[in-house]
Amino acid sequence: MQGYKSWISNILIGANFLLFFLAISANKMVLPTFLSWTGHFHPLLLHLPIGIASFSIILWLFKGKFSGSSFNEIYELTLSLSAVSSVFTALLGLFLSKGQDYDAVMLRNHLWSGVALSFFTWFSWWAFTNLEKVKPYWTYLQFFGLALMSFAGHAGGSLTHGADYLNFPDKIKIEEDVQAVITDSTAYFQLAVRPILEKKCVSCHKKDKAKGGLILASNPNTTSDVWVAKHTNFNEMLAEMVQRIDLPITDKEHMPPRGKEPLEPQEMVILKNWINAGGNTNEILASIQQNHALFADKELLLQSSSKERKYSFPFLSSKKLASLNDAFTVVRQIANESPALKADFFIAKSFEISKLDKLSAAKEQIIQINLSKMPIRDEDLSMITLFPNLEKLILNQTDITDKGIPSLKKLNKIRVLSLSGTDISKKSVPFLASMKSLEEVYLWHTNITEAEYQDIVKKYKNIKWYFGFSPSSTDILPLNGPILENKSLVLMENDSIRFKKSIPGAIIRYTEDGSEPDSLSSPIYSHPLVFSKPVTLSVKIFKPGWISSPTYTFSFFKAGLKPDSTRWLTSPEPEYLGAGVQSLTDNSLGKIDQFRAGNWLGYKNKPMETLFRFKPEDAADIRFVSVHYGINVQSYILAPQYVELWGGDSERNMKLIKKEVLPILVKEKLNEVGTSAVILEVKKPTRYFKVIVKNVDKLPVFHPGKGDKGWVFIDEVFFSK
Amino acid sequence: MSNPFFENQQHVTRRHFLGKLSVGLGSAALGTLLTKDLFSPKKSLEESIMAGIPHFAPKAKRVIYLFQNGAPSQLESFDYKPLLNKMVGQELPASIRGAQRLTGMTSGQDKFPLVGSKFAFNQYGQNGTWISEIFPNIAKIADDICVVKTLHTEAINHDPALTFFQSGAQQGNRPSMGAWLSYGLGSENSNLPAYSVLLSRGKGNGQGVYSKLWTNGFLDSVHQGVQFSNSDEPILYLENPDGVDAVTRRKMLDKLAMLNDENYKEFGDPEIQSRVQQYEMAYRMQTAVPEMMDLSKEPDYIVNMYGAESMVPGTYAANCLLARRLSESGVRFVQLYHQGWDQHGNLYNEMSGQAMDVDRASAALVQDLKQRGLLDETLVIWGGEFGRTNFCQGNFSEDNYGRDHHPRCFSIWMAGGGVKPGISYGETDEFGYNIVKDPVHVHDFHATVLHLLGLDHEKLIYKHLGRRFRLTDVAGKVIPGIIA
Repeated sequence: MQGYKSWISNILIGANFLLFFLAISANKMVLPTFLSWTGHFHPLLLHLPIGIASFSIILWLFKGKFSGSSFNEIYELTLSLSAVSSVFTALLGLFLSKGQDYDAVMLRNHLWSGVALSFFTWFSWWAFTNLEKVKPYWTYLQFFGLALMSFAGHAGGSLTHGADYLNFPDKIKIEEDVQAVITDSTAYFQLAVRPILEKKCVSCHKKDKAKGGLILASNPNTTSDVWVAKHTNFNEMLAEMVQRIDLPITDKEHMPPRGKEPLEPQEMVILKNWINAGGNTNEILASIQQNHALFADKELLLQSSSKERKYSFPFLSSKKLASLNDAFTVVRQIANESPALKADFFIAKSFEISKLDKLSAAKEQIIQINLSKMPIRDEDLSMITLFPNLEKLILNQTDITDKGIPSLKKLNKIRVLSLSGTDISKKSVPFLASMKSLEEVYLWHTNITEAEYQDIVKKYKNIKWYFGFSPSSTDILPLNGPILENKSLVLMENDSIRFKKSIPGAIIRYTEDGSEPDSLSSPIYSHPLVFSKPVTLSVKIFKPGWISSPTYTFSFFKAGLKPDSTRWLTSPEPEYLGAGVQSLTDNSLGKIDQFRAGNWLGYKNKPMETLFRFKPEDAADIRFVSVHYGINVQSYILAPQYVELWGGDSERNMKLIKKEVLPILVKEKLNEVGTSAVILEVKKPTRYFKVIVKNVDKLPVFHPGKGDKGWVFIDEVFFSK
Repeated sequence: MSNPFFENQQHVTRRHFLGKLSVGLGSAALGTLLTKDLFSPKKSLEESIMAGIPHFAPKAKRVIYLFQNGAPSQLESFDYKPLLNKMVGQELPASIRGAQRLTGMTSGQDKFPLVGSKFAFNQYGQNGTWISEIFPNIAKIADDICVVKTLHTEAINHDPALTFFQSGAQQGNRPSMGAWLSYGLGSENSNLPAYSVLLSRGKGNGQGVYSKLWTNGFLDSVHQGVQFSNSDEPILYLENPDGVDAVTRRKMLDKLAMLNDENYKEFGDPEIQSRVQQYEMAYRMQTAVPEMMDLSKEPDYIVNMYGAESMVPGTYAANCLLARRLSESGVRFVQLYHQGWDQHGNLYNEMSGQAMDVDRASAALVQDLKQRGLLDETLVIWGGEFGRTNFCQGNFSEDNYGRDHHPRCFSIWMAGGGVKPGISYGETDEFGYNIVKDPVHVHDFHATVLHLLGLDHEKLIYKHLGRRFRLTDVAGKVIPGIIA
């Protein structure tokens, strides 16, 4: 055993003296390549003394567990290894420090604490066997060693990873967002260059760790926080920067070096363009205009900086966030990665001002609030100032007035304010204009007049004012037609005709005689109309300042009496049988685009001939017979050639009551689509009727199907009072 | 011979076992303090989508898609090609047409006579956007819109093209864009459906719309588009029936939910849960809808903005006004369809009529959003499913002509929601047949729209039948040129 101790003793003496010597003459030390290479093993080796020394303390604390002399042997061995590893670690560290540009103070701390530690471990080993006097204080001594080791280790860690590496995270100052405060007087350097340097360069080129002698740091000569290089010549440094950025990544001189985060292509472009443009650190954004070499970069950056606002406030816990939401209040993160929140309120009925108060749990995070249509009054506005980071506030169609606006004063981050549809007047404008952060204000449909708009826009140019649409007297629009509320043109007993105007303030006028309604003399529709007989109304809508609507015509029929029996004398074409003969008297009209539906009976090869028989008691009631037909000229469906009405007191004894011949098709009506009716009057009580509807024999020459037979489509025959 | 002492040593009692185990368990428990999600199943991308938060800060929060169903001609609207007027009646050069397939409607034609727009074009806005005279009101908002002239699609007939636009696939059965957004972003206002559909019809030659266009596909059925009625009451049967008051309704729903819940526990069918949610939403819609429809706080001249038709339910103008109200109330995706844009013939008359239907109201919608401070967060899209040929379909006459389907290029416009305003994007050749600069495929369009809404189109996925699906399928790239 004695053998190894003397060896170790010798090694320790030699190594520690070498260490001490080199440490005091470190500045003049010149290292052969080999030794400076071995220096790179310092970070590896240093874990040994930490481990072994710590272990020796544990051993000491558990010394009672050992029996006999074995403890002393093991303990001594541990102490000796601790001393040996310490001294070599320190030596290698010394080699490593040479040729690197560490902060001198921090380096000195580390170096001398390392040397001290090496000597201490050496002393411990020696003292344990040779110095009985210290034994009573041995535990204290060991803890002193631990403290020394901690100090040396900490100094080393700070040297490698930065002085704040071991600080507790809370203490790390969250850097204020540089981009959030960009104005025209911000230096281009601050917007474009500094963030890149900070992100990609500064970790190695800072005051504490000036690799290659380059420090990119606050300029001590100016009070402003501008980043420059401590370089013999600033421009020379920039030139070198460009040169190194451009080298291939495999090149040793390339910056950032391999293994560190490389520059993005866009960052490279920005850096190079800035350097090529002179590398001015003070040039402000306002002076970079259209023809400036950096204009394009500036635009691009401004765009992306507004794209991503960063917020330094903390995330709200998801539990808290969930508690703020209900079916009518929605508070959401604006994006996955962002702590910022936006709050929307829905359904005025369920709104209470206390809901706004409840959001104060997230007062820091909320940057947008939408209170559109909620019953917000002037006195409630003071609550809005609970949210200091508010950027966008929508108060459209709330009950606020000029009185409430000044309470928004405290919102010093507000950018967009929408007050459309409120009782705001021009009184509030100077106040709004004085709000520094405000960029856009929406004031549509407020008490501000058109003339006042012009003034405001001219006077307060720092804000974009939006006044939106206001009706102009030169923009005259056509009115649309009346809306018939009746579901059917067939009027049942006691049914009235009801029209609705779509536009407030419009007037509906109508005529019964087929003439065009005029705006002066035609009757005004004011209440539901009741007619005792079938009627065709021409209806038109008027309103001052508008072009009156086209004339619409509606033919109404009184619901017919139901015949006792109805019989086809000629049957319709097989594909247009409707719902059988009953469909002629079901008081339901067909639709003009649905000739195949159940309402229509179609005739082509034969005229329609149908027999109707009524109960004796109904005979006296029948005054009008109306035959309703469809028209779609292009589809060969025309008005009948003529309609005959026959009547009598039995099937066999019938006379022609009336024959109505309809006008033949004219070219102008070639595209006509619609429905119409022939109304025939019955003068005396009649029980049996025969209706004959003759289709057009030959289509005229201007029709695509000239010479063909026309179709006739009947959906209803009314027998009414 | 066994050694009793040794055996005893080996014997592990239960007490012993549990005692030792507790130490291990204790430290495992300690470990879980640091690894929170160790025992909860791993959160998949789909699950994080379900949170309904955009991937990154969005420009747009809502979309109003004014779909011009039937495909309006780009040559009569936004893509000005004077050469076609100069070369009227001349044959389309074969080199321009290339290998473009034709529909069955023109493939039989032996001539392809070029025809120029009968409508005059003018430049509007600060950047001189070309707009046809049939859109005088859209021309007035030229500074707010971004005209994309180089959209192109793969389909050549209405149904596949429409389906492609809606769902990113021509065959159907995939979720529609609105459903994807409802899935990806959730509902802003849980009192209204996140995806609403409004239909209207012009007098022009029409093409049908069908509910598969607003399908939820394989997504949960809560994401399906809800079609609104064309009547005075946009949502039918919302009122309680006579004799049922709100309290009774509430009780009924609660009981129903309990029954459904039992059913769910037994079968585990997620559709049951969706149904319960729908009932709840319908209940809240009973207050939300009347409030949304209330016009009393708006000026009368809102009618002047949108035109008189806006007061007639079921018209395009009325739907635009309704769309604005829905969107303002937090509906994520409002889709309008205006039918009647399929001008194979009679283009001059029909297109004037169609333009009259939509021009004023479309412009009013953009303006109305803007004056409420909502345009920057609402993306408005106007466009059809493909373009129309530069040659005439059918009989060619000076007064009247028609155009067939053309997938290679067509124009749409977008406004608000983070789109670069006042620009025209992309260029077609002087024949208006091929794209020469900055093409935008339908997939690119989808990717861009999702991007504007804060979604990464490659991350908005849903696993179905063993495969993860996206709106953009396996293609699509965001077009930065149209993003503000």
